Amino acid sequence: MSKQIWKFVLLLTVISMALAACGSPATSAAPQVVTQIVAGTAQVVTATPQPTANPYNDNAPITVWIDQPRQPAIDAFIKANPDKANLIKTVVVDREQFPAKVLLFNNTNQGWPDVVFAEPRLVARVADAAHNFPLDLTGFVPADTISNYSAMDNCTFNGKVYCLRNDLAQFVTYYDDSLMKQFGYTVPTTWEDYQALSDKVAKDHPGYYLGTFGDGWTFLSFFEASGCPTHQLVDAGTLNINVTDPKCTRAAALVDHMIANKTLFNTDFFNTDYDKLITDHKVLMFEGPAWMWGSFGGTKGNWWETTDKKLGVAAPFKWAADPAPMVAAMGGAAWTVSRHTQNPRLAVALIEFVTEDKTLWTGSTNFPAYKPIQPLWQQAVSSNPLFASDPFPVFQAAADEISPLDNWPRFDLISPLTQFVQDTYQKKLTVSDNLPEITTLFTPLAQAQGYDVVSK
Amino acid sequence: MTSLSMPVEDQSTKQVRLSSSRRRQNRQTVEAYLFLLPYILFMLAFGLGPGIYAFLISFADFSTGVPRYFAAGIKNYLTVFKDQRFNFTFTNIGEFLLISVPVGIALVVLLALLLHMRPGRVASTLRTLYFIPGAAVGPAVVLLVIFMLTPSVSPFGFLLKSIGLGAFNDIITPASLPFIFLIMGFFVGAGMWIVIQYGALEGISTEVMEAATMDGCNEWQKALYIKLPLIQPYIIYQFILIFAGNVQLFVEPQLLGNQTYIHANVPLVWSPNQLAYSFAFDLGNFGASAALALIMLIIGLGASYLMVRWTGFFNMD
Repeated sequence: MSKQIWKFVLLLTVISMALAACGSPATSAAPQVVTQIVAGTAQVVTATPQPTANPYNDNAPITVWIDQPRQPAIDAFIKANPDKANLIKTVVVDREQFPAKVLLFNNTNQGWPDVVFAEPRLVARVADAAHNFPLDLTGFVPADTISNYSAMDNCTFNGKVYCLRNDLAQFVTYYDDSLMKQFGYTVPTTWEDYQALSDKVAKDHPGYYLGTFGDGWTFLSFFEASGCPTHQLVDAGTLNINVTDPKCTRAAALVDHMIANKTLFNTDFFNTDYDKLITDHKVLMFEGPAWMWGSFGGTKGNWWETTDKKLGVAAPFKWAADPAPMVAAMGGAAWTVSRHTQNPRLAVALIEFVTEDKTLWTGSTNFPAYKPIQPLWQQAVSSNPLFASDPFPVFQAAADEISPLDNWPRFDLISPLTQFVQDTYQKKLTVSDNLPEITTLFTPLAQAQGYDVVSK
Repeated sequence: MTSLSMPVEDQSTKQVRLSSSRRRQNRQTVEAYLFLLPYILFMLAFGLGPGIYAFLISFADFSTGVPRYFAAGIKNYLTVFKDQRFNFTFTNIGEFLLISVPVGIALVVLLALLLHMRPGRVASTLRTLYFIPGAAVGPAVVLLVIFMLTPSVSPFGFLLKSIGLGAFNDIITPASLPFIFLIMGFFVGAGMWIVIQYGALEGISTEVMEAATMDGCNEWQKALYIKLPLIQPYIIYQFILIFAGNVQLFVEPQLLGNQTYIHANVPLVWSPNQLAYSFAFDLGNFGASAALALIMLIIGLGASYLMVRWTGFFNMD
């Protein structure tokens, strides 16, 4: 009897091995020795060459991965090109999953989307050897068109253009104009003035806030804007993490000061408690990304009231010792095309349309990256009754001052930074004291991605 | 299944003329296998098959994005052991197992024994009530717990606030995580186990219980000296399954640690299964991910084997 059981087990094993073998992709091409960038460093590896790309087919359908707010742009493209309607399939996805999904498709050797809407930080993560996803757009988009986009540095990897910028998300100073006038304050231009104002507010108007510090993005709004090298790319394979830099300690001292005098709230921008403070007009000002006025103010009307010219927009703060502000950014997306696509011409036509079309952008609350449509966008925002004054010059100037720190390494910064901020609050430490924790959090993540971690 | 004809092929022509009883026995074997067939197919497709595939790719190299089989040797296993997060995650899961397995089993057995002491309508109603939360699965339970432990929205917010826990992040700390996961796991799983242990108690012969009563046992003595030893095999069975289940903890820390939406102070990679996920989907190293999964399998099998050997589980009847 027991012999029979073993026979049976053996048989099961054989069958399942056969099943497993069926599942694995057939690799017929012979391996060859090539030089490749693996996790940031050039090394000689044995690689199976990619099958030669299929000849392009202008009638091949394309799959477009977007988020919900991008749907009207795709609809507009289909309206303008009705003959392409049945070639375009849009899928709404959580784009944070995009790099992981690409790895799965690489394993099964099929299923990649053709066009993806994602931030350059995500494009950077799918541009390494393991993901090997984006198509170099230089052969498909004319050079003078590419030069018309702002902030293309974030889309350029080793001279290859892997995405077209959609919008920019530079931080600016948002303030409640009527409240500032009522209290007789002037809008600070430097971080030092900002700290001095916080003491005045703490003394004369306790219960009012000048911003919030509660997650990775709010962390960056202070530390990236100070030039703090928590994640500075020295070159493609080297990451500088140095939280003892004076640019870090000055930002930490500022944040600690304002947490102590209770003028900084302790959540992210989207927390309902912070939302309520703004609705109740308890927030005098804060640094927020360019798109924020649209998400919260214009249409919903419950953040800043829409019609009474209350929302002031001023230049982002700079440190007195620095020549110019170093502007942080929160998002600012791009469009990337897959190297596996069969119809690159349609894919590129689509991403050019959605980033360049005038009608599409006129009513948009996002700051367009494509420079030729910026004047049109200016007309729209300048006449918007929401603003206390014309915000466009501020947005435009800040767009040119986005910090090089907005070029991210190939790992997520926000989750570990959020954990850092939460941990600091929980352990009742000061940000200054807990700052070395960031090195502890980032170093293994960076090393796992193949970066040489330096501290200088 | 070709295996079913194998014994027949082995027979000589003489043996084909079997006695009718032998033939009936064979037919019963066939029927038994037929009943097993759906389970076996699913086990092959979703258990053994992926296991063998994992074994295969644990030796594959993924540095170019596509698997190159047997190119990595044992490199993936070394990668796993050398990873800075390896010790951290295994310490965490060890802590969680130390707390969750004994506490889970003790509470379930205690509740089952209590229910069995007072059979009747109250007991059967309670049994059903215990069972109902099992309808909620992992992710939903995480959301439920987040809701329950956020003092500003929780119906028990006043209780939390009264003991000085004014915010979600006062409650969820790296130190409290094993207990939070214990609560989640117990909430979902306890009902089913109470029903199983209750069933085991129902199976105890009435003669034994009557004899105990005649000998002057009170209810507590009966529970401790008669019922508990008799349901021991079921407790061991529960240990094996709970250990195997809890060592695979993934959904709870993964969702609670979602810094994009939840902002709880949960380390990004807390459990070994999350580390395996991180190998696969953050780093693209499916080989190391498979290697870690197999290490986990060996731990689960080892613990079960030790338990079975130690208690002589299979010898009992």
